[in-house]
Amino acid sequence: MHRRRFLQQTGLFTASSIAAIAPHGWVAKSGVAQMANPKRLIVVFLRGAVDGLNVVVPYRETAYYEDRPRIAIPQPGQARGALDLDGQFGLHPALESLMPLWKQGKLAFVNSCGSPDATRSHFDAQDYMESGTPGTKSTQDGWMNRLLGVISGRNPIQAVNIGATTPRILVGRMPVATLASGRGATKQLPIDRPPVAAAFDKLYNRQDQLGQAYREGREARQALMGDLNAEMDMANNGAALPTVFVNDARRLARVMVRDRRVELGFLAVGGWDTHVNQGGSRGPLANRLQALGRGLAALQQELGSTFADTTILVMSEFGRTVRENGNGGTDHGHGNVLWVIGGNVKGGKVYGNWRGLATDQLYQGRDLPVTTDFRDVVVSVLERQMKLDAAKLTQVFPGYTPGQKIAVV
Amino acid sequence: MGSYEQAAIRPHAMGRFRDLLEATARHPAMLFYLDNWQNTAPNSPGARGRFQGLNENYARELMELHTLGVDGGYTQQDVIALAKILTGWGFRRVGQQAETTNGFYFDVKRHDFSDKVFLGRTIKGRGIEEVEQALDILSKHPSTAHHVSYKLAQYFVADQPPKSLVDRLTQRFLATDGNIRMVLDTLFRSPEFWDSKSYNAKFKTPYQYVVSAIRATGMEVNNPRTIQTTLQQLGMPLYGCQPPNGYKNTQDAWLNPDGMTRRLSFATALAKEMGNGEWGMENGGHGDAETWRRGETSIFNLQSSIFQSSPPPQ
Repeated sequence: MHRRRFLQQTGLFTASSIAAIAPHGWVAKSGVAQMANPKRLIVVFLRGAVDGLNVVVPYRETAYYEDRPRIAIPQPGQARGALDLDGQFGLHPALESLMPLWKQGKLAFVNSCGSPDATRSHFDAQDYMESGTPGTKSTQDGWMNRLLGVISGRNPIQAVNIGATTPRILVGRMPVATLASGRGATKQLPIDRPPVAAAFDKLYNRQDQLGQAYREGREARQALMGDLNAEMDMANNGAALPTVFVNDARRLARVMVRDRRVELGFLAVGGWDTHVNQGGSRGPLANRLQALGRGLAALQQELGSTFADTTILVMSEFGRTVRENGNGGTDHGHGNVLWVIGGNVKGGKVYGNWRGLATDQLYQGRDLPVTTDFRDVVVSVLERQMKLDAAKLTQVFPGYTPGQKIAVV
Repeated sequence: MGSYEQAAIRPHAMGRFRDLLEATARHPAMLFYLDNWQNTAPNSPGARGRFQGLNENYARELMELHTLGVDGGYTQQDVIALAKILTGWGFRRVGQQAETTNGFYFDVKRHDFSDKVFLGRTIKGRGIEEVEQALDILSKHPSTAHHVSYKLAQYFVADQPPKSLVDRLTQRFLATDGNIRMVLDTLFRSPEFWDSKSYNAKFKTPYQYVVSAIRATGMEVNNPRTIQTTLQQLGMPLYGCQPPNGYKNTQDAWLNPDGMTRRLSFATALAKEMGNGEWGMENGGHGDAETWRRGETSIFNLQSSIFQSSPPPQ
């Protein structure tokens, strides 16, 4: 109701203004999008390079236990051991909250996955994974923004980012809505105050590009704040949730459920750069994984029936060394594990070309190789779930020909 | 980065383009950022450890971004030739004596002394002077004159600058041996610059918007960090551009719904702070009703500062 009233107040629904903004097309098209069930994609980026070998544990490899005397996760069945996945790999016990998804076949992993670029710089590797053009620094926009450009329609909250700054992956010419992370999410901006908003409505009431951007921004803000007010009411009744990520994940899910126009979501979680004392089944990494697992489980629960049309990708810029270092941690590596969660996922399976941990199978004798380009996984989701054709896929990942089909959805 | 702007860019911004190019080529920030400090002739006496072979990054960007432009008429062979010419250009590391106070260091032991063919010209292998010869060729090249002129016209006149103007600036650039002051003189006297279509034609970048708004208020900035935070939220952190092309100055890069919401929130916070006479104390906080009433009034007093684009005609 709020949205309708707002649109009427700002004159967006008068005949003349529909004509004026028709070339942009989103008002008309978003009406159509309401008819079909929109397909949703959420990317969770683990900044800092998570230690994938302690997420999906290759517990049959003796090299794993030899190389990681202090931080290895024990085999399934042992005290604080890994949770068996498929007889070859096991899940870190702190990720227990994801086991129901695994058993329902809604969770899959792709091993030895990542960006083909060899850089071990966090900055460059994140940049490449977000621009979607590994090795090319001059790409201005991110692949999720280019994706926005090729999926149908245009609306101001088609992509929602949780965080202070629009991340590289969403930078580009298409509009992206932003919601602050953690407690900041419910903080009002000056522009949320009715007298201030009314003043700016007057100032930007023209049918030019400025006015258009202003109204889209206001509408996005209005839609997102509507959800948050509802959440504040709920929070007053219930207990506080344990971590920022769990809260952010729930909030994103709620926004997506409530508003069908939100098709893409992005969340970043930091703190994975475990060079020192990362711990094994317990310890700093275990604590982070536990919060992450609970957040992802919360995301799935909160999405409800929308989960059936949603795919969640969890990725990180590169993996970490097979061998633990002198400080009970791991250093920057290469290949990693990519997580895929969703209603259409052919889960309960570890995908990817696994070559074992023998030194001669490792990249530069120390890291997991990248045997699956991360774009192969993204492309299969876009192709199979979002029904993008080859031409559109080329726009999302310019200059890239998928190397192999990963039939993960 | 501060040193790069102060020592390499600003002293030459109104001078000869050739001097500007030289200053950037010798600055450690550039040599580090575009990896040339590792650029090494394979099998040279100094090739060891991480200094094993050619690195083309700076050579390519020097032509694509800084001089000729992407369609400026160079080939992959020219990129390799220029990379060889640039071998050994880096900065002082432990145990080395710097050539200059800024830390620039030419490591002769890692230089490729072969003769090179660069943009159709032969450059004799003789050491550090090879780069001077290459920079001479690049800065006198018509493609460079056009590329730099286009950028100036785009910055000062319109996102799609008129061809007539770009052509005139290119001629001026070539005739004055790349004298930037003279090129700008032509630009500011041009009919295209004074054309009424050029009024309000440029949309401010976040940096221009934030700085001009604060300047317009005449307020003291007590905590510059709040400005940096605002710029970050607007997607233009100071010295934080990720790709080597630099931030765009065109409207398509900056006019979007989220950016508008953030700009107006910033403007409102700024207007509210005007009563305090300084900014950075309680940016974004919630004042009482009286503060808000004043803030609301200030929005309109502040119209001149929150214009999103170049000023309208008087």
